[in-house]
Amino acid sequence: MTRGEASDAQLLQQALRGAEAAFDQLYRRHRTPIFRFAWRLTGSVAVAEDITQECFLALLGGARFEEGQGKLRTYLFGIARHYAWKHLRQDEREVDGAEADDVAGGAPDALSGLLSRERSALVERAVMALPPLQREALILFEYEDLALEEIAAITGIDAGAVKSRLHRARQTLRRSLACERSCP
Amino acid sequence: MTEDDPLRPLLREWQAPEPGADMDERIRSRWQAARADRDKPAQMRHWWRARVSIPVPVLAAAILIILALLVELRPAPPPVTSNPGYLTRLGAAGFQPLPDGAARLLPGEVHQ
Repeated sequence: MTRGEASDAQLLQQALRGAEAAFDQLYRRHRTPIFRFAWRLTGSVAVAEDITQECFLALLGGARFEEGQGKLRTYLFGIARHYAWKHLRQDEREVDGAEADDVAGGAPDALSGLLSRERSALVERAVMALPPLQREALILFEYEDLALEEIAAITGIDAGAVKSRLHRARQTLRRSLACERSCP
Repeated sequence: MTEDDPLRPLLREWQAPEPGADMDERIRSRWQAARADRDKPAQMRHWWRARVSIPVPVLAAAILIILALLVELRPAPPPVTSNPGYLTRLGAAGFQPLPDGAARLLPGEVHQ
């Protein structure tokens, strides 16, 4: 947020009173990180879109955000996490080991994209193979650049436990990525 | 914590897709609809729960004015006119109705 920009809490108050522009600004500010996080956890664009929608609608419903509670970003990630886990539990019951259903959108063009896509798929496989709790911590830390304390607030554990999950996730990734690159 | 971790640039190779083109429009319209729904009962409740704050001196003055108006505008009783006509006095002492409801005149004194 640059100087002169309204805070999230201010924008939310205005949006709840019916200011469409305030909602738009708030939405533009948070939609992409929430969508990305949901997509990386669930592996589905459609589900990630639904989760993004539910996160914003939750602001209108029973879920109440107040500035004293912390950042709106943390709050939205918390809601996204709740819905993503709900989906993952359902998914676990329905399909065992199903492939992620989406092709990455906005793929870079042919030649330059080929290697990039290959590496991307490699990392995706390795990250998606992580246990969900480690995956969640890794995504929030590495891809969304959240601080340990913020991740702790979202996941409901202490920062030490987040650090430990990250450490284990990295160890697993190092092993699996090294194997993917060297193993036939 | 991971500034010089060689794993980091590799992890960044995994790019997230963009959401579908219709997501923004869908979420905006859902938000508007949900907000409109939420506000409907709120408007009704507003009328029932509305409070008006009035300073005590103003309230007291308003009550006094209303009382004064009530006293001033109440309907006046019909004027009592002194009637200089005849005054009839009927004595009902000793009156007993007859069993068949008939009337009977008894002779007596007539005062003038």
